[in-house]
Amino acid sequence: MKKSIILIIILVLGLAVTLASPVIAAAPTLGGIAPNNGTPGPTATVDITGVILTGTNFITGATILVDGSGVSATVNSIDSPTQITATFHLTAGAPAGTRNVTVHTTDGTSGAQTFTINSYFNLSAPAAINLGVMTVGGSATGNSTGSVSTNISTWSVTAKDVKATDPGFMTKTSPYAKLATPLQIKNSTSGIFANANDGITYSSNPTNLPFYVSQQVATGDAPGAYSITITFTGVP
Amino acid sequence: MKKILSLVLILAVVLAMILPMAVSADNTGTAGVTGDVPPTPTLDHLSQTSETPNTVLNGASKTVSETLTSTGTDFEQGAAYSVNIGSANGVTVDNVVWHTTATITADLHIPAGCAAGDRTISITESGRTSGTKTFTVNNYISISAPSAISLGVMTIGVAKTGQSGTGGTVDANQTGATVTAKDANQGANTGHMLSSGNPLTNAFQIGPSGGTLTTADTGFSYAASATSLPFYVSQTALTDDAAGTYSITITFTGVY
Repeated sequence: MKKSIILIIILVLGLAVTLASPVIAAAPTLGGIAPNNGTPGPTATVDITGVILTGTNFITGATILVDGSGVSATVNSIDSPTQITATFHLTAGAPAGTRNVTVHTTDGTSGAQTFTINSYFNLSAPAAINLGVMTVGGSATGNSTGSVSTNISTWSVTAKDVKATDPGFMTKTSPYAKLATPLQIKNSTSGIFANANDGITYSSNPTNLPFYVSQQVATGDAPGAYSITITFTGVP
Repeated sequence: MKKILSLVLILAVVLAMILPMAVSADNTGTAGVTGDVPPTPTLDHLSQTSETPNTVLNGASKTVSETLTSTGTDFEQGAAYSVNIGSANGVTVDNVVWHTTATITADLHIPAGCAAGDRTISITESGRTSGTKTFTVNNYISISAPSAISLGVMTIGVAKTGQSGTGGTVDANQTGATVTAKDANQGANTGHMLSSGNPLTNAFQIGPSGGTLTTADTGFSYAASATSLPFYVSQTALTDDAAGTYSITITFTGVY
């Protein structure tokens, strides 16, 4: 009986101590982001909706912080203390790479998880060139322009004829024939023409792809409709 | 078993690191270059194969322009065309127009004085030239006759002379053309001045100068390629000639 009374007293004291102690709220933790990457657009902001952040201690008023450029995030809803639904905003042309993401509440800031800005590389080849009826004994010339949009920092572009048979030459079918001289290509008005089978390389990080061609027609070239396809390859 | 699980875990981690770095890449493209090599055109026909360069009206000449239609084959639309004139000698061409793969027109200009003779016409299509067809600039000669002469009242027994106040002229497009002058009346009493069909006794005398006269019935010729036509006459009336007003018409004829 005495022991019971003592135990009750201890329990009451313990409860009193507990009730008297201040509640210390915990800072949020961030365990994952899904999806944890996105690809920006070349000209307009891309919004990635429904991004789920998982962790602990998410409370009302929590915000998402993203370091680095080109990305921001807004909280759509705090679904529970362990989940936030958010939208990530990727600005046009946001540089590729990783960004540190943290969750901030009045109780503190979480550790970081990474969100990756994917690389993109879009090459738009120059428009087709029609040299029309070419003058025998002369040179027919034409030009067009392509473009590159990318968020990587370094790249180059090459252009050449890559076909296996008679590379560099305009050819025709029915019957098959090629012109006597190869197509000449260059990438600027002041540049030097190169045979299309040798190809040309644009200067580093080109965003415009000016494209000039010149085709000489010899007296002995057979009449007919000739063509050639020049392949432009971007090398990130 | 534990090792396998470890490898799977490592692989999963590696994949998790790689996948987020996926690159959206559209890093190739092509540009087509096309062009036509023209065939050698053929020239089959010219709509007009000759023309006389000048029309002379009262001594005024003008340039003749003709639209020449050339028919053939393989005239490709979009090709650069020219109409070529061999030994042009004054003939020029312009306004070359493609109509169909078989028809091209061009304007030929044949100026006054353009030399007579054949020209070869061909068509060049973007560097390739057809065979030729012949276009002929015709000979022409046009004469402006000397002005009329009035001898007035002729004295019996005395030669009455006169000359045209304005000599005649010749316009020709070839050398060697000649002009003859003789009585237009080649019937009865040819070479004589007439009055109501009655002739003077003596023949009418004509010539290119005062000192070289001949009877009008046989007439005379000016020097070849002469471009001016001076004209002299002489008539002697005799005692037996009836009184009256006499006349004669001399015809000047160009020959080439």
